[in-house]
Amino acid sequence: MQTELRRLEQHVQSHWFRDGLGEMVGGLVFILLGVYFAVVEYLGDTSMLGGLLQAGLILVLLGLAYLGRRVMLGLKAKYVVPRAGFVEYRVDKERQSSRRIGAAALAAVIAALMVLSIPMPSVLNWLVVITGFLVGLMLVFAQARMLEIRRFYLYAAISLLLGILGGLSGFSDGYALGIYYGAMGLVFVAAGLFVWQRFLKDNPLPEPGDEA
Amino acid sequence: MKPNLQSLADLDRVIHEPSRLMLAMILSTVESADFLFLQRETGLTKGNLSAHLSKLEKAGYVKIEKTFKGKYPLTICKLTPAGRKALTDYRLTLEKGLGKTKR
Repeated sequence: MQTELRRLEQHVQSHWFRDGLGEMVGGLVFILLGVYFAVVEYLGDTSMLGGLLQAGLILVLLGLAYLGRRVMLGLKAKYVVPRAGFVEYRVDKERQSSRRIGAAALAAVIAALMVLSIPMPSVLNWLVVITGFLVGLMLVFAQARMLEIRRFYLYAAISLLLGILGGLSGFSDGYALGIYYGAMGLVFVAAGLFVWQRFLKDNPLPEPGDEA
Repeated sequence: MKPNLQSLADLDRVIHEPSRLMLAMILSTVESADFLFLQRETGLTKGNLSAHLSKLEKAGYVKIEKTFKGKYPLTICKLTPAGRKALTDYRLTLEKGLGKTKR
């Protein structure tokens, strides 16, 4: 019964991703992140704005995460709740803190790699390859395996592939990261639109007066 | 675990009914959920769902709050601490009664 409860919990939690809004908003956040990296690279270290933007990476990440969440909650309240119902999830503090630690570790590794610019064989841009691998790993463990949503395995594979392609592109760190995040964002938005379309078809708006 | 069939007589009959067990299990995995969500998840009709929720509410296992969201009525359901305990006790009683029975 414990296993059944865990499966049920997974099923209920996966409700959050049934509408594709998570991918669409996440995709837009990725595209903005891609623009950020490209702009930082374009401005260079020597300009004051470039330096400020580079130093504010963590703030940009936190700001985009906050903005993305606010937009998604607003869209869900307006378009999803009337169609599929409202659910407030239980906060598993242990799981939440381990996720935060994982996300912080990921951000720290990427930031450290950027700052240190570890010398690696020059055939590949390792920063992008590692980013693609780490994002893919996060997609597999935080979404695909934990919630049993299979399409996230595909996103993880695409992330790995885009990371390798970005690494082979021959661009400098900033542009390669910009291309990786931009392309990954486009993949998320396109996939989200597909899921959203199916969600709208499967969940018609109830008549006014019916439960929502 | 040694089966103790007599303990099955102590099963909470409010929870034991399949539709109510389904509702209690769903609500145990979330903080709260609304009527529409529960209806979509359980596949129950509005009348059936309403009747089972009322029984759970009457037993003190579920708290129901009725509000409006724009022109749509919104009924938020939440499992109470007593409801959580009843579900846990139900599970333990069932496990005690059936033990590791062969399929």
